[in-house]
Amino acid sequence: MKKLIELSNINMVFSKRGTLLKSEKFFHVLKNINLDIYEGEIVAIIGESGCGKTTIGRIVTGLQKPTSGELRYEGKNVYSFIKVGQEFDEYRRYVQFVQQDSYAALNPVRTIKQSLEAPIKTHYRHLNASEIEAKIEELMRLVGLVPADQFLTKYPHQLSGGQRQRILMARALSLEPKLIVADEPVSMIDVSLRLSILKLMSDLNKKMGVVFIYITHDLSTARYIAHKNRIVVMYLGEIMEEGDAEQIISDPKHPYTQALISAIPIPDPDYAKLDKELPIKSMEMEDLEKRGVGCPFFVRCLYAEEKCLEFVDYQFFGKRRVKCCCLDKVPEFVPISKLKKGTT
Amino acid sequence: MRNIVELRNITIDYNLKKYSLRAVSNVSLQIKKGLITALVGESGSGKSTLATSLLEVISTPGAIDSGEILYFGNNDLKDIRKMSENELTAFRWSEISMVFQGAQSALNPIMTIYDQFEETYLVHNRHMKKKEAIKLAKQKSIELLKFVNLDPDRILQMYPHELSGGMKQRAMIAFSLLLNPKLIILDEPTTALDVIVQGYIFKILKKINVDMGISMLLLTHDIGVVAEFADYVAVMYGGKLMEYGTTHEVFKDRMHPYSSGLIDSTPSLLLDIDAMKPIKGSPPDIRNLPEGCVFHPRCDFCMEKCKTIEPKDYLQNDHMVKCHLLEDVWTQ
Amino acid sequence: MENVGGRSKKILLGIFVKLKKFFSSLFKVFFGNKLSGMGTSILVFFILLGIIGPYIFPYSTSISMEDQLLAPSFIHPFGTDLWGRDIFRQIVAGTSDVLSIAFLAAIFSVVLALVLGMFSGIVGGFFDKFIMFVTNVFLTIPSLPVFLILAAIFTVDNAVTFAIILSIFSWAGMCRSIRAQIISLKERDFIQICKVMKMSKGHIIFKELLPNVGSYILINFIIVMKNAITGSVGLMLLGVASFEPTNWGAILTSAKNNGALINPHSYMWLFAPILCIAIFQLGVIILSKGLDDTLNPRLRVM
Repeated sequence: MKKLIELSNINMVFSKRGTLLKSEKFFHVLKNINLDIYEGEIVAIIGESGCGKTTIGRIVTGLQKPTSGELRYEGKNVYSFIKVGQEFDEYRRYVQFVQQDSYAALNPVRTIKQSLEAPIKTHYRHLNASEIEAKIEELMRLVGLVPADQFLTKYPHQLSGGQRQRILMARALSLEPKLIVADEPVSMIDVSLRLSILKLMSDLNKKMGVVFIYITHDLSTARYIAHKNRIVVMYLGEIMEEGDAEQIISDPKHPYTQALISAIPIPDPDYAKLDKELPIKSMEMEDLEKRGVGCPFFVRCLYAEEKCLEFVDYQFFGKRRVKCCCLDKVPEFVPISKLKKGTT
Repeated sequence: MRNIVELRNITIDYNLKKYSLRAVSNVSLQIKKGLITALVGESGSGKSTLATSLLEVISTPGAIDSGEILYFGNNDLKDIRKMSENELTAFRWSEISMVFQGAQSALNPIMTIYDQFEETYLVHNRHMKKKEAIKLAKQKSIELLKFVNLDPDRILQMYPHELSGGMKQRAMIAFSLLLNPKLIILDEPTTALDVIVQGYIFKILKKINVDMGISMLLLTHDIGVVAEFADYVAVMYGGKLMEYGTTHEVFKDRMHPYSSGLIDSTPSLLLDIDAMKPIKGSPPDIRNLPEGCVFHPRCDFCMEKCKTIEPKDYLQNDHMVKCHLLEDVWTQ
Repeated sequence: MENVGGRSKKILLGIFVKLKKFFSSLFKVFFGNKLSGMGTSILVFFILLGIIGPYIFPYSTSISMEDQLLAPSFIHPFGTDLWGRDIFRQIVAGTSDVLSIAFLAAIFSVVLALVLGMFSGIVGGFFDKFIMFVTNVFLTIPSLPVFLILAAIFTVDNAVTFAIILSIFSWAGMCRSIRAQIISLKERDFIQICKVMKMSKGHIIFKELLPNVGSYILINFIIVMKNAITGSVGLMLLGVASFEPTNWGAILTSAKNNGALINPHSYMWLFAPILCIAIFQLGVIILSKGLDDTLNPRLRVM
């Protein structure tokens, strides 16, 4: 499969200016990230807040330039393109963004039609008015908003969250992108509608081959959308585990992934009432400023030892990789479904 | 099982300039003593409005149109709606307290954590000598913070913005326990918090419920949290109460199409990918609620009469379901 | 031949439809609620008075001493002044002058505030700091002494000069406010998306940012008009500027200078211009309140 995007040794450091009393602070938000995205796939990047997943999304869409490292698109280094050169423009077109807050992502004083028309008019100058209209109608049909007229004349505040999110999707599709980065697209939508938006993305991927990078903290939705695809687990700016979605969920190898999965409440009272201990040593989070060279999960890991403070490398299991040096100590994860019902 | 609060036929309207919106329509709900009741609903369901009515703190222009809110906390019966302003001030926080969503903090941003605890304690204990009250307030604050695993020496001197999301919520939980309430209302206490912190906070809440016997009303849209944590579930939709029963009954018996659809549409780690399906349609517009059964446009089992006649409440033991499907099966 | 005719018909039809839409939305904005309807009516009344009034009630400057200081009557609704001239017709004649000064002052202020405010907000850096320094200067320096000095240096003998002087102190506050709005809008998601979709800078400025500050500009435009009238009257009373004797402020000054304050027969001479100014102010205030109600809740509602 062809490689679409390559993140190579990406580092992102934010600095907070010092004052008279405090010295300048550095936040190493992404550390040596190496990630490849292939054509036609869906990659779900999961992690809690502060793990750097949103920053990766912003780097891929070109909104944020990494402090060091290379972002390659179809083999070419994106940031070596001259900013207003044709290559960067092309890149910007082929990688699109769907944000979390659908209300903030639409101009409140423009109708939906105006918001959808704008990018089409900019990038497809040769189309006349009726062709543009036809294109918009087609986009609305693709995202399931029919009859289109009902929505086109409205302002963002007149639509529901789910409808707005579909509009964001339609807008992202209007430039015929090769890749769409979706940052928590369903977290602000009612629970009963989340699946339909996720299904929309999954269908678009299958039908049109658009690659999705789905960023979330919700492992359950990640599991749904990355079914038969990849999941990447991040923690404090580093990739802890990466591999096939079903495998990671049924057999997580990294202690952090195991903790994450145990913490997720199961919507079934029979399983839920089983008492379970969170496999975490403490609730104290590591400090993003004072990170050392070793494993970022050290403070909370049940199986941590001295050697974890030195450089930790990935271990590979076929297409899977896990960043842990103590895997022999980590027990095999027993998923809830294997536990007998009703036992404690 | 005794009730600590009974809401009877509560209707709450928001009276705007040109029209009025019915946020809650004729809801009767029991909150059992010593147990955790979850109130589930999506946007437009009216659950937040209903919960805030218990403390008579509905944001204007909302107002309770009719109904009674009966409180059985102190071995006597009191109608919260009939309380005077003085009684209400004494009542709030000492009998029923509330933990809000992270964004709308009950914590005053310009006061340290300790100052807030002390101030609230003093206000409710005016009958004591001031020195005595301050001493007790400090003792209580330290004890409560320790209970929620926060270090009192560090936290009491801090301002709310210096705490992380999880720490703030824990501080709010400690704050809600300050006056030994009998019932705590929790409005989506863990949205915006990570899943591991969420698990930790619910552990603390369960400890409070079991050790101190404090009843809880948990507002949430997270079905997983409900299954794991609640004893009873009440499901609201479009301002009406659709189902009420034990967690087991609601999740396993699947008597109401909406509750059932909600459970099936929640992505989970357990179910087969193909077993999960969304509910068709979109949440109701409160300005334009459907006729008959509020849920009928989205219901897979919709019959002709669902479109025009509102279903009655059907009862079997303590399990209530508002659906025509049970017409000849259960009693009214 | 037919095609050309048919196509130009289509174009005309398109223009007509667009104009119709534009005017109907304009109508909705200005007559949307009771307040804005009333305010707009008052303003429209004065505008019409200014344009066609002088043709219906022509004013002649001929003196007729036997008619001096007559009380209000059917022929002279506001009475006459010291020289027997009809006050009502003076006011009608002066309306267009008053309105044009107010209008020009508002245009100068708003355009200056808009251009500098948007430039400052969008570009940032050194230009931003410099422009904000300039606004600070204009906001802190007391306006009256400066007006007097300027009036002493420049002869104020036409509406444009007068309007420029009046607008000197009204643009600074608006400029800061527009800049603040632009800065906060810049970080909003929908502007970030424009960058991702490689929209041109021109599009971002004119089609995305500008409409968002549109309502603010509209409301402030009419407020500046109101302040300009008061300002102009004040300057005229101080004797600093006076060119058109039928300008309401000039009538007022003339009345004061000719003993209207002590002469019981000339109360109308003093009162008529004050009444008109007051009604105009009231109209503007009501309109701005009404516009605020119409334009803002739509943006606030989630």
